[in-house]
Amino acid sequence: MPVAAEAPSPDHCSSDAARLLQDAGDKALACLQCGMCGVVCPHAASVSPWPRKEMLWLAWGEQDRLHRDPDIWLCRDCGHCSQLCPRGADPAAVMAALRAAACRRLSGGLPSAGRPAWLEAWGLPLLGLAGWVLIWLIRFLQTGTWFPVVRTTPDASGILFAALYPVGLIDAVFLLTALGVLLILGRGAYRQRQAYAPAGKLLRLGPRTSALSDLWAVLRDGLSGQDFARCRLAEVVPETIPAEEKTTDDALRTPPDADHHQRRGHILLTASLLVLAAVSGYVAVGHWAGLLGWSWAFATPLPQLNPIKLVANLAAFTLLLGLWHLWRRRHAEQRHRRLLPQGRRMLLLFFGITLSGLAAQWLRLAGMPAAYAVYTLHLALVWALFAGLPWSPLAHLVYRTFALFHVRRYGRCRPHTFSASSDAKDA
Amino acid sequence: MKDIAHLFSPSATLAVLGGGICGLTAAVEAAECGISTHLIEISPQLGGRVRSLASYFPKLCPPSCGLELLTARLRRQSRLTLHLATRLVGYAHAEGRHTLTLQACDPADAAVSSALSTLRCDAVIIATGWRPFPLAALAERGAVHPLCLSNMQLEHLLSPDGPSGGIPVRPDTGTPPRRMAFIQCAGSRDVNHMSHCSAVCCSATLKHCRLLLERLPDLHIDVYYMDLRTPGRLFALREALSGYEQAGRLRFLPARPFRAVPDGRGMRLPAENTQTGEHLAHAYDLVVWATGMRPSLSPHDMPPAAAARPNLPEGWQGPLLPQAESLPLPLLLDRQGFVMEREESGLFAAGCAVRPMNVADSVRSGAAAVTRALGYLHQRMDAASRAGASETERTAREGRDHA
Repeated sequence: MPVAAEAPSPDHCSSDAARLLQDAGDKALACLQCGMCGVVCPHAASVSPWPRKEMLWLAWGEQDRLHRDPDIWLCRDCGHCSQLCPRGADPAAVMAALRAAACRRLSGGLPSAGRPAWLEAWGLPLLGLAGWVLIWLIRFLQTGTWFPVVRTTPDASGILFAALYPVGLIDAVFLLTALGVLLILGRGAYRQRQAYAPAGKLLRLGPRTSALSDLWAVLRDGLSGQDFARCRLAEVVPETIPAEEKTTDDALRTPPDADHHQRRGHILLTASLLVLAAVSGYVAVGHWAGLLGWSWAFATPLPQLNPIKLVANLAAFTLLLGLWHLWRRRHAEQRHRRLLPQGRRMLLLFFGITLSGLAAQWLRLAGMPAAYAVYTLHLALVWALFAGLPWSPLAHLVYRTFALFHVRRYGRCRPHTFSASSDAKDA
Repeated sequence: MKDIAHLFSPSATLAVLGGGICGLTAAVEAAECGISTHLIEISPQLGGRVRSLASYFPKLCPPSCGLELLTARLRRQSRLTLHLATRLVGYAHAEGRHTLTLQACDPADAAVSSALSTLRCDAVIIATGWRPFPLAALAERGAVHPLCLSNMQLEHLLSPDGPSGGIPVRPDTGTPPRRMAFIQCAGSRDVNHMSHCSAVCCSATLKHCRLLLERLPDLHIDVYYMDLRTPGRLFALREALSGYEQAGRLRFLPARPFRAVPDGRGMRLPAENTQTGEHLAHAYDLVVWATGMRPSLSPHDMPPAAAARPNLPEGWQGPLLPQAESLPLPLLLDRQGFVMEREESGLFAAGCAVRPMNVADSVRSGAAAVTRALGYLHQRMDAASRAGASETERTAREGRDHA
């Protein structure tokens, strides 16, 4: 086992461990190591499955082993283990807390000790808002008007966001932020690679697959919701309780569509975000091509009936639908397990972004100057989402992908099966 | 005995609720100490759960022997009154005495109403015992299946007067099993069911393993456990099984199968061996769920209000207790339904009503409750005689003043 080159200061270490335990819940240490969670989990591997060993490492304070464990990312947070845990130790919450801790560690940043909770929760959106208000003030000094109403647009409404925040300025702010975020996430993935790499040289037997095809397989399973297909409690625990003997307790313990909401919400959210990213890219290319004087270029705002605009609006509504699914799923899950507040904040942020974006568009079309204020709020929230990404649950975009890619490369991706036709060995 | 007997006035009365081995011991011990004792048992027979056991551990002797000794002592006691097939329907407490309202019950038909009688006593011992945890509560783990049985059902099959002469068979084929599994902590130590450890199931499983392996030479047994808890000297039971372990006929697997899956002709148990981290999915002919003890007073076993309502006569003016309680006594129960005794109330608890325990501990617990009850009665008699003395003194003084 490699010895840490420089020991972290005891204060920092203990605050990390304390934070982890606080997130994981006080019941985490009640675990009796019965091993039921790993069997319930539809994803757990057949050799050294999770989350039992993570529960043990948490109780023992084996931080080093937890840091080198890709398995925390293989958990899809379906919560079956927490529903059936005989000790109420909530292994799903432990895995979620470990992932949150991993994000903090991989992405780096300031230690969170001693910071007030509200600052951690809402600091970034407030910072974003302050930044955009500052830019607003600077523009006010330049243009001499609070709401630069432009009368000469092809759009007869008379409101033009670009008159307040030029596209170049927005692109500069967001591209710089995105660059920083990419660097941080890249460094995090590099740290993951260092941590997960097996000691010594690994001899691979059997057919080789290319790294690219492995990455493609991981992305395909993740984006298509294939990963969640197995997370259905109904398949793990069949309905064997006759309806008349079912108590209200049983009904509460098996929320019927939490799994359905998770899968549906994830697919909708991913798809609409991809579409919106593509639209943004398309608009940016058009803008910069226009500056270069290319004939096919176009200027924003696009007319409402432009196919791109229609697709973007459709994606916004799909996003709302996906968020609603995830919100419903949170409520169903909350009945029997702890959920980290980061997830709720992230959903609220997404709701805020989508609703403020749609509202800004409607106010612009209505010709109301309030559109500028709502647009400023929208920009601030989008910036907060971007800037906070490496520390938010969204960081799983990179870290989970890397972990899945890693275990695929090293052949740890075949879960055991429950089905009666399983070919599991029979002693 | 005579030395103690003269300490109590003949009117000192003790009631014992429950005629299992603990209540029986308590009643016999109390009567032998010179207290007039009433033993109240809801079923028409004495002996309780012990009667249904195949054998005691660790000596594996038949359960009849302990009961016979107690019955012989019981017969010699004139101070002991038996109330069989009788249940407690009402309770009142006044001037330090308890008034129990009893009703004879027909075990075949609980709705048949019968006459009420009252019993006044100075102390009560609660020895209401336990009920087996129902397998139906483990339906989501696949325990409701012809090839699954509880350890109490197995106990019945193993007893010589069981349905198959002491040898369990597969219900579908009628042949003895070749592979059996025991799942420990079924319902016990589980926050979804009973969070307490039932204390006897591990020892009982070791006993079952020994009986089965002795009787069925082709049988292989796997015991799935979280950790084996065999209090006292009972771990010797496992040492006695080491020969079978070495012969490969008995395995202890540190794993907890979450579900029994019907597979082909048997039951498969998916589990993780927590020592090796290996995924197991063995198949078995019979799966025994080592279900634990639920106290009889457990809130889970409360009968529906209508069924519990005693058939009181018209115009009944006596105490009517909240029918939600399965026993109409002012008791403090913990979350699991075990009695938390308050000695000053004159209500004493013993046996599995207090915590899960094996037969030997239940017997000791019954005797210990009698000791506490005797102390309580003695203190009350002291106080009463002192009060009586001062009363006589006062009347004498008043008489003098008068003169």
